[in-house]
Amino acid sequence: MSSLWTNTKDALRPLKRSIERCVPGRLRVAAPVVQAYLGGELETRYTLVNFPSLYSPRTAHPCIYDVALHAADGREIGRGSLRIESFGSLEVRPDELFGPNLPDLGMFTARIRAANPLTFAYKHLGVVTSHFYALYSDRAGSSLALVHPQTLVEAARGENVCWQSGYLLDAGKIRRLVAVQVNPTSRPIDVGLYLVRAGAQARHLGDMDGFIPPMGSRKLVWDLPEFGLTEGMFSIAARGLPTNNAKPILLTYFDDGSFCGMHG
Amino acid sequence: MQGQFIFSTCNRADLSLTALLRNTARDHRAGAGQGGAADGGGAAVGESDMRVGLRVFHAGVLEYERDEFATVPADGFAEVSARTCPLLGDETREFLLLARCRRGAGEGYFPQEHQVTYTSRQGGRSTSLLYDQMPIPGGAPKANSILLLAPKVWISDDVDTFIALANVGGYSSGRSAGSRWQIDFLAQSGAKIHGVSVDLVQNASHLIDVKRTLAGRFEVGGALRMLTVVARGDTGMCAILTFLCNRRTRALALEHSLSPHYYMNGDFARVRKEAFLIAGAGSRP
Repeated sequence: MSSLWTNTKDALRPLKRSIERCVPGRLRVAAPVVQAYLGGELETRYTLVNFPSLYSPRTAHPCIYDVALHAADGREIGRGSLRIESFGSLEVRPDELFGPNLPDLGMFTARIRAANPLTFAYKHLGVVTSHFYALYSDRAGSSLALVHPQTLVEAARGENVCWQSGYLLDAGKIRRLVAVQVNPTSRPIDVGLYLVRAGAQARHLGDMDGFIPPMGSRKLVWDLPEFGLTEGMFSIAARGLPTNNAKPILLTYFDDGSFCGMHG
Repeated sequence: MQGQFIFSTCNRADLSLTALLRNTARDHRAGAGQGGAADGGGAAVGESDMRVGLRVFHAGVLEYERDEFATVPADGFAEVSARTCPLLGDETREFLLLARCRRGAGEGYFPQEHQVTYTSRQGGRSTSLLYDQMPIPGGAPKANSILLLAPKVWISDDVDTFIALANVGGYSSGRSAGSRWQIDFLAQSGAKIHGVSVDLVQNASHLIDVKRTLAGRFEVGGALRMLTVVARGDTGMCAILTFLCNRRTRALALEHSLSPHYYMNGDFARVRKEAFLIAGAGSRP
């Protein structure tokens, strides 16, 4: 009986695929993509893009990004839906979208969907994942950091991940290191970050364990001379990550107060 | 095991290059890299030396070759800069660099991130980026269409964006044939501001100066304006980096591009065939 059922299903599979190609269907989308938000003395811009229309230009449609901003304690600050025309993009400045009284730290989420839920133009794209970058800067424009997101809401768990960044940071040139971590999950996370001297004298220092609430974030600062890091190379490492690829954003501050940034 | 790291100079933006070729190993945690967003694992200490061969090309011509450029111990690094490769002291030309990294036995690919740092020659500001080496193709590399989607271009009176295309072809010396690329500049409205068709020489680094390319076609003022650059062409392999430079404050930012598999998982062949056929899209804003 089971082989008859299997053979029947196999025989009908091409017909099912043909029917699926002809009927409308929702754009299949992955979970929201997340990235840190930095306010206060800093500015953040996000760049949303209607990439399905660029990948299928003959049947291009507007798209919608559903976006939200969470404070460091995980509380939702605001949400909205942003329409982007075919081939278009949108620079999102959270203070323009959610008002001027924003926290210094938080997490932005974005999830794409088709403007017309019945369009079937993009079925060949499979499951699409929202695509954007974040640009961080100070208000004087003396520092810039361009960073792509690295994880999704409720991505695979990372509590057991032992991660060490491949970056070698030069303590002779950097005065201060700032790491920003987001927790895009529905559960609190207890994770740690620490620094590792490179080379023969490799050792851990500057351990900072901490709790990040659900949908929350935290910012950690290492004033390097306080940890005896005034020369030589070092890197950053983690005891557990909120999700398996939720590596921190790193801002490296120089003596003149300017910074550059990168994903860890 | 082997892999090749593709990187390039950015002299036209007055930036000097230092690369640190790392010998670490990805951690082997369960499910690494399945999160759906970019970049895989981090680093853990490797177990054996990594041998590095370095080739440097300008405009398709092999100008520097050293099969035994460096041997990198576990958790160590080898520096590639004008200090270790004097050819890079030539600030008047752009170079494509190929670092072939071998570790242990076998011809299979091993993932390894390496670090590039670009420093402004005016004021000393620097920015760094970590990205992966690529597999070394067996035989002559097969050209495939490649898509660049860069919604990360800003220009203003002070800020310019440069896109560096490190286009790899065959490995023999001598100028290689080029490949045709279509590069389009799109306003946030979706309107096409400008499009250029360029012949990218293989084994060469090509730098797009967005502000210069759009001069007279896109109004630039004191405020940052964001636009999208999209490109399609054929290449054996290509590493694409985007640089933001504030010429007044000397601030720098740098990020690599993400291939389409990071944000879709369907019919790539169809997408590569159809994508960016947007010649009729809109008009100038």
